Formats: sequence, C-alpha cells, structure tokens
Amino acid sequence: MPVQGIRTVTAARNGVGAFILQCKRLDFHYCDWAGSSRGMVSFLKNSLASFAKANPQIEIRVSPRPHKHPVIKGHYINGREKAVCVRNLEPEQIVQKANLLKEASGEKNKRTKKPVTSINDSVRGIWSPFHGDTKTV
Amino acid sequence: MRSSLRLLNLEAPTLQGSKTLYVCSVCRQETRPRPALARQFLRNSSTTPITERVRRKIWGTDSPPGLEDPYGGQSVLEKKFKKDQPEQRPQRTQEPDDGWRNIDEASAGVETAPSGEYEPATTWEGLARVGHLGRWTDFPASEVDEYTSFKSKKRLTKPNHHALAAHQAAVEICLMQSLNKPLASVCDVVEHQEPIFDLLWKCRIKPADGQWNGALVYPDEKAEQVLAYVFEQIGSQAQTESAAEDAAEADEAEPETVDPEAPRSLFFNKAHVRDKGYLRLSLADPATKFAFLKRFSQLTGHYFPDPVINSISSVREAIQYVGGELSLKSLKLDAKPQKLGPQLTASKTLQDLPNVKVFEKRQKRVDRDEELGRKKVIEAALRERGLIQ
Amino acid sequence: MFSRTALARAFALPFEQSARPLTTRFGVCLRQASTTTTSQSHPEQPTEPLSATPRAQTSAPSQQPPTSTPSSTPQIPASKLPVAPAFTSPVEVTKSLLENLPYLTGQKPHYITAHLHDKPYLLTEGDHLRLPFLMPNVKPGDVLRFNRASLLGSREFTLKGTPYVDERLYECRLRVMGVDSEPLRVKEKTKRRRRHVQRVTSKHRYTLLRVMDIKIKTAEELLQEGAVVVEDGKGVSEVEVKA
Repeated sequence: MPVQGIRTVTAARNGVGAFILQCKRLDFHYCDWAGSSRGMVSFLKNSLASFAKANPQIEIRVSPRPHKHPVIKGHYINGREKAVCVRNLEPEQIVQKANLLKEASGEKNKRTKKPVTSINDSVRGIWSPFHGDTKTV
Repeated sequence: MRSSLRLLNLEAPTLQGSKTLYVCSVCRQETRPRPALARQFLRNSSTTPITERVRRKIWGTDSPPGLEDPYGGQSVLEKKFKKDQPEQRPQRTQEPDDGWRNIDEASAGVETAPSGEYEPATTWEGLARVGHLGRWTDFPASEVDEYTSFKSKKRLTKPNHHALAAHQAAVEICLMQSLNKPLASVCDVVEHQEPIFDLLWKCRIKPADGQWNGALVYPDEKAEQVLAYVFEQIGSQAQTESAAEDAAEADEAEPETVDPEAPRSLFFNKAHVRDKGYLRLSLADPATKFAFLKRFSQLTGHYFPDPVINSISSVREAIQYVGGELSLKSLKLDAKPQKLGPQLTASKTLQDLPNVKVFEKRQKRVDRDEELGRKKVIEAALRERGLIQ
Repeated sequence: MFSRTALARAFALPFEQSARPLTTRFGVCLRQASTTTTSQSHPEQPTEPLSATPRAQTSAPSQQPPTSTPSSTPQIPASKLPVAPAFTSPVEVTKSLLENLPYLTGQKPHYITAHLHDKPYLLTEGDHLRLPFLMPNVKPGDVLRFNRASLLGSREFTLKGTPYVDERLYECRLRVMGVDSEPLRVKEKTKRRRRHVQRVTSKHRYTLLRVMDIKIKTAEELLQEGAVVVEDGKGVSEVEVKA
C-alpha cells in the first residue's frame, strides 16, 4: 500500500458555519507617569468597563508599561497582532482605535484589486478545447 | 629690500628664500618688480609703508585694526626658529603670573603697543581682564561674590516668636496700606530699631471680617505720627513732591536698619503679642498675601512652598504652617499621584466582567512563558545546561 | 479509516442540522438575515412571507437562545427591524424551469453572480469578499442576504436571469467578518516648474464578507411556497445546459 498523505478534511473557514470574531484579545498598556498616557488612563478609568461589557467575546488585559507611550495591542485568531500607539489621544479617539482593532481581520494591510478570494475549485471546471462546439476554421 | 615694495614682489623673496626649489631665470625675471612701476610707488613713499597706507585708506582711520603688515612679515614658524635672534619690533612685557598666556606668546609679540593719549584698542592685549579662563576657585572672593540671604539665617522655632513676627508683619503691612505705598517694600528694612519696634509691638489689630483696611489701632497719636513718618520713608519715594528732602533725611535716618553683624536679641526680648486680632486677618487678596508671606518668611526664616502659599487663606494658617501644625501632608499637597493599577483592580465593575484582566505589574516575557505553560520547561532546560542556578 | 469517517460525520452534522427546519429560530434568523437586505424594499405590506429556510446559527454573539426568542423581540431597535418582504404576486415558474431545475439543484457546488451596487461578484460557498467600499451600519457577525443575482449555476447548468433571477428562487447569505484596511496611499502631485511636491494621502477601509451559503431551492420547495406554474414565455428565467 503506497504511502498516502492525510487529506485535509476541511479548511478552517470562519464565518461559514460558526462565526468567531477575528480579534481575540486586546491589550491596553499605559504609563502611570507619562503625560502621553493621560487620555489612556482616563479611558481605562471611565470607559473600559462599558467597552468590555459591549464586547464580551474579546479578552481584555490591562497592564502598565512604564516609560513608554500607551499602546493598544490586538491579538487575532490568525496568530498575528496589531499594535496602535495612542499617545496624546483623547479617550474618544482611543475608543475609536479600540473599535478599529476589534473589527480588523488581523491580516496585514494589503492592496488588492480582486474583490473575491476563493479556495474552492472552479465550479464550471477548467476550460478545455475538446469540449463544446467544434470550431470551424 | 624696501618694505613698500614687498607687496609687489610677493613671489620673489619666497622663491629666493627656498633654496630647494629651482626656478628658471626667465621666471625669476618675470617675478621681479618692474623698475618703472616700482618708481611710481617710490614717488609717494614716505616713512609709512605702502601696505600700511592702503590699509589706512581702506579702513578710513589712522589706526586700522589687525596686523600692521598682514601679507608680508614672518610666519609663526619662522619666528619660532628665529627666537634667539634679536627682534626688530618692540616686545611686550609678559605678565608674570599667567602661565596660559605663554602659549600665544609668539603672536602676542607681533603686536605694537598702543601709544599716545588715546588709541582705541584693536586687540585684547593689555586690556583689563574680566572673567576667568580657569582656576577661578583659587582667586580670593571679591565684593560682588558675597551673598546675603533674604531670609534670616536662623529659623525661628518658638511659637511666641512666630506670633511676634506675624504681628509685626501684619502691623507693617497695615501701615503701608494706610500710607498707600507698595506693600512688599516693607522687606527693605530687615529689622527696625528698638523704639520703633516697640511702637509696632504696641499697635493692635482689630480686623472687621478679616479686612486689612482700618484694622490698625495705634496706642496713641504720637505713635501714629512717628510710625507714619518712619514708614513714609520706606520703599519708593519718587511719588511725593518732597522726595529730595526725604531722601536726605533717610540718609541720616539710616539707623533704621540695624548693623547685621551686631548680636541680635530676638524681637528685643519681647515675649508675647498682646492681642490676637491679627490672627483673624484674611489673606484672600493675593497682593496682601504675597507681601505678608514675604515679610513673614523674612522674619522667621521659614520657606513657603508654592502649594502651601496657594492653600493658605489666613494669618492663622500661616502661623500654623510655620509651627508645624499644618504640613504638606496634612494639606494633602504632597500626595503621590495614585497608580492606575490598584484603582482598576479595586473597581467593582471591572471585577464583575469576566473578560477583563488587570495587571498591576508590567507583563514581561516570563509572564507570557508562564501563561503558555512553558516556563518550567525553559527553566529546566537552562538549569540542565548550568546557565541558571 | 474509522476515525476519518467519524470526523467527516462530525463535520457534516451542522449541515444536517441546518437542513432541519427549526421553527423556533425562524423569526430571529429571518430578522437578522433580512435586516440588511440590500435592495428591493417596497413599501407595500407583504402578501406572502419571504420564505427562507432557517439555519442553525451556533455562535453568532448576538444570537439569543431559542427559548428566549420571544423576549428578545422588543430589544431590536427600530432601525434594525427587518425590511418586510414586499411581493405582490407569487413567484412564477415556467414548466421548462420546473423540469430542468432538479438537474441544477442536484449538482453541487453552485456559484452565483450576485450584484451589489450594480457590480457583479462571482461567488461560491466559503469565498471571501472584500467589498470595494465600507458598508455602513454593519458590524462583524451580521448576516446579509444578497437578493440580486444575474446567474446561478453549477458545473453544467446555469440559471440565467433576465436581467436578474427572482430572489425567491435562491438564498445567498454572507457574513460580515470585519473591516479591512489598505496601506497608506501617497499620491504625489506636482506642478510644472515648481519645486514643490504635494503628497496627498488616503487610506480606505473595506468591509470583509464571507459567503455562508448559496442555496437554490428545489422545485418541490418552490411549489410548496406557492409558486405559480405558467406557460413558457418571456421574462422568466431559464435553465441553460452548458454547451
């Protein structure tokens, strides 16, 4: 019996059946001392709870990062992460940035021309010259 | 060769001087000055060389700045070699004490000494020195170096002294206010003479609602006149018409200020303030507050930090601060900014949310290893290799 | 071997469940599906409900459990209420369509040329669709139903619309996956004889969709929903066999 590779039964296609948000975790980093974290600290104090309540599927971690600018880091289910520096931003702007990370797909930003990407085989098959009408010259 | 011709045959002497370079006779002839041309210059020649005359013409003065002969003359190296030979130009006498001057001795020697009644200096040579180029610590202190502090050197610690100082400052500022003079100028007189201090001490303060206006109650008419006369002389005197006389009087009446070196008995051994009215004075007006605290600080030797000045609202509080009853801590002004981590961990709303995790410490790579469950493995591997104990 | 079949069966299970009509979830599913239905919203009241086969939606975050469906109804904001299907007449199918439809429906997989803002997108199940614009008022997890299709087909058969296929003949659902962005574009603008370059930047955002399913209804389903059989004629879609 020849050696056979194990065929993939399925490819993970999030959203076809079940849907999981691409963003699985958001890390909020702040600095207690630095002034660029003022907006971040205010956001964490006032609006983090409502943000977390609105997004129960995202794990939220808050940890200090002394002597650095405040950062929101998003971790995605494709294994990538995206970080946004939110220095000197107002709390409302930080909410916007957090929403941006929440909705992002986690993929690297790419410029694509084709709207549809597919992993399926062509439905109608590959074109063959031996099918269809015989061409007359 | 005449120095007036030096500008013209710049090339020739250098070529002649350097024996190593061979120059053909044609070239040498060409670089030689033309006799006709030379004669033209010779016609106007006087004792001053032509280069000097050109320079004078350019600068428009008889004493142009810079070197007398900038193009010719000897280079620094040549001078160094010919050091033992007698020099033509008069040598400036060296100042004996400064070693650092010997470095540019050679260039200093070039300069001509300024002679005559007055000649504007063109270089720093021979001018009075200002500032130091090093070793300033070795020089003795000059008059301007002395420093006298604004505050009294000794900090008063006893509460009755604080009270006396506050009372004195309050009375003085009341006086200045009644005389309509700048309040802060009471600090010009560090200490009054004993009779004047006595009069100040006898004054009472009866403030209505903490107001300074009209709060002062003099012991008698004479005291009022004397104090008004004395305090009229303090501060700027240019406002009044009799400024000149006052100044003359002030000069002879200088004994107001006490000789600082004389041994000083604190408040002339007055023990207590006789009334308590000054405690109720309000420090709401910033100008009054500033003047009072300045004078009070001068008298007591205590320093008021800005946050304290901001929070103090009455004379009583100023005395309390000096006495140590009020402090930065009790005013809650030195409170460290609270850290966000404990606040977040303590907040109930965040605790209730299952998806929120708050760390009070920075998360490092070790923490991530521990979270992923590989910390032990890593540590074991490191220990096995003997990299950690 | 055993394990593989078991695995396959396990994966197939959701689809079997989805085929089973779950009447309790019907309301929610329909509502969510038609919430963002893109076009053809007529003001008239429906004479006939838009029949869509409900689907099991296992992990949509906003999904309520079946038992709590009635209670969740009033929580839907007015702006999110479904656009009522507005059809004045039942769907008409020709006899030839009825004859040929089993060939099309029986042959999997299917593709669809769905139109959105008059742009065609050739989609199969599981495809990623990055719309060339940011769709407003949608959030990740929402389900859209595309109801404009010019082509529906399988390997050998194609249902052609004139110009569009009636939306009651098929179901095509897409899930909003998120919002994607592109790298910053920098356009350098210059004028002649002027040593100045103006740099104009732009960064667009796009909505990401994923095709959940493409389902062409069978003839029986159509008849059950009240389709009217008419004689062959113009203006009705026809199934074409691949030449």
